[in-house]
Amino acid sequence: MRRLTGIAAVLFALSTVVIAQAGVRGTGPSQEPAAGQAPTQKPPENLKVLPPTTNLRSEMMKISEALGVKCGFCHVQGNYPSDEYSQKRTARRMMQMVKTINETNFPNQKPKEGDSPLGSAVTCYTCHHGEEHPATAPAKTTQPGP
Amino acid sequence: MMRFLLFVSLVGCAALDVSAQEQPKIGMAESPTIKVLTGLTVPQFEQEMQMMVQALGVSCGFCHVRNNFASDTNEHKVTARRMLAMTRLINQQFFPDYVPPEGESRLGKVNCMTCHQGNEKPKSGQL
Repeated sequence: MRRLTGIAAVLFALSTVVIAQAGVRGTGPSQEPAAGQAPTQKPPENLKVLPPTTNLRSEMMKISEALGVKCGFCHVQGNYPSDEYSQKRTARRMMQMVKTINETNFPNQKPKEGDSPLGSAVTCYTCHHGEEHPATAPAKTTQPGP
Repeated sequence: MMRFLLFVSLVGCAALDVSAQEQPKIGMAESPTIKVLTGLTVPQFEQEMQMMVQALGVSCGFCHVRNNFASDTNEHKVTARRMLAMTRLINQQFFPDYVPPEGESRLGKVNCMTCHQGNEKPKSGQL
């Protein structure tokens, strides 16, 4: 009986490890084949506006929410540092713009813990409001037809 | 006599020419307190003010002193001017090629509505 309990315990431990590993793989980017490379351990590459100390995951999630888009809108799957997509190049130009606006016009509003390093007065959301393209004019009211 | 008439008509033409050169200033929104929103005709200037009202969801009195619209005593007006200068700079620096279509803000691609969206204070998304 004690032996059986021991075997059951070993089997349980093994299954837990297998499930945990499957879980780790399952939560990773689905289209990234590099299983051995944990994305959090790699230093960020090709950063030109954001400082290297940026909490990149949090920053990217903010952009994603502000524009209502997913990672693939700007990033080449499997090669996130690539600048191939024009949307990524535009995003970088917009980040530079946000940084300039905050530094020039709101120098006293310093970013708090968890805020973007680009500044906290103006963010992507300030203009985008969850849309890919910001609305620059009020929604046109449709005239009733004849 | 004919020479005199010719001289008078020439002087008259010259005078008309001078008034024609000054003509563009008539109808332009000009005032010592218009410091940023310059180079607009009166209708364009009024339209721009209406767009501001819509973009911030406020009425004229939010920035202007009643019966003295040129006055800068209301601090909201001073802030509005600073924001107009900021908007102008953003457009010059980042969207220099954008030409606003008829009926849209003369400020450019980025205008008051872009951030304010009908609110007095823009929402930055960090609640």
